[in-house]
Amino acid sequence: MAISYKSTVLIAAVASPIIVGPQQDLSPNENKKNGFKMESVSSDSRVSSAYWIINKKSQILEKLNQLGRLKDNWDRNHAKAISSSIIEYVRKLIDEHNIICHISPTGRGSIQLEHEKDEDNYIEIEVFTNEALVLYAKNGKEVEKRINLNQITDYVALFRS
Amino acid sequence: MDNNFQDDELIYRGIDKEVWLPDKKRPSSSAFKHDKGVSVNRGNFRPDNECIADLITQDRIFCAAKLDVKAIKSINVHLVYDPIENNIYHSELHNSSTEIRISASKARKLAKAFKPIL
Repeated sequence: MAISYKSTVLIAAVASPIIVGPQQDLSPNENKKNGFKMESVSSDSRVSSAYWIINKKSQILEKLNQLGRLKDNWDRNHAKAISSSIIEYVRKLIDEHNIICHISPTGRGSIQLEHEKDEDNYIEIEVFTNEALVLYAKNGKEVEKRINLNQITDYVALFRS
Repeated sequence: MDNNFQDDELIYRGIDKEVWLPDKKRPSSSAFKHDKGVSVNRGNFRPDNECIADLITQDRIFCAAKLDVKAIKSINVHLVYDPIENNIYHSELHNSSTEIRISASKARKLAKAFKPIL
């Protein structure tokens, strides 16, 4: 019998510590390590959190499909359509790293992923075909830089902090 | 109207539903990222309802947002009056007088400063 994707994620979540995503607050027993909250939680909480991640990811990937259907001039101001290579790159990024964030198109044919913890801690990654623009802030100190796509994974943890 | 903008003149931008952040109740900075300049309408001291009427007739537009010229200047964004056919109020936001593409940092400041009219 084939094991579904959802079952796989649930099994993995119950069997291992959870990396708590945005808007999660499962236990007062926090052990902050590398910017993540590693927590001791019950199996019920793990399953609940896993379902939350699955549902959020499902919504994000559905929106990604919608963005892939945008045509040239979708904003009636000469915006570029988003290339299939960018769509597939972002889909893989979100899927492999369980990134929970807001995604949106820009008028210049790119996709933006963003997460804001608060006024002083946020990240925005704008993905183009061959590069990305990153804007992030830690404790109010803002940094903006241009990076290669293979460097994006260096910033993934900021979506969970 | 000419290329001169008074500090208290209001500038209006239509916000597409794809770039609206519902949990923040504001547009994403992606609403201000465009290679050909960010299209806006100048208010020319008309009432809000008249200024947004043209913007919200498009089915993709979630809402309009506005900001005064003084605040735009404080972000160091360059405002260009650029009337087009059927829209004498059309203007554009540029990164500077020599560069069109707005930086990520300025786009974020614009997204947080523009006030949605819901």
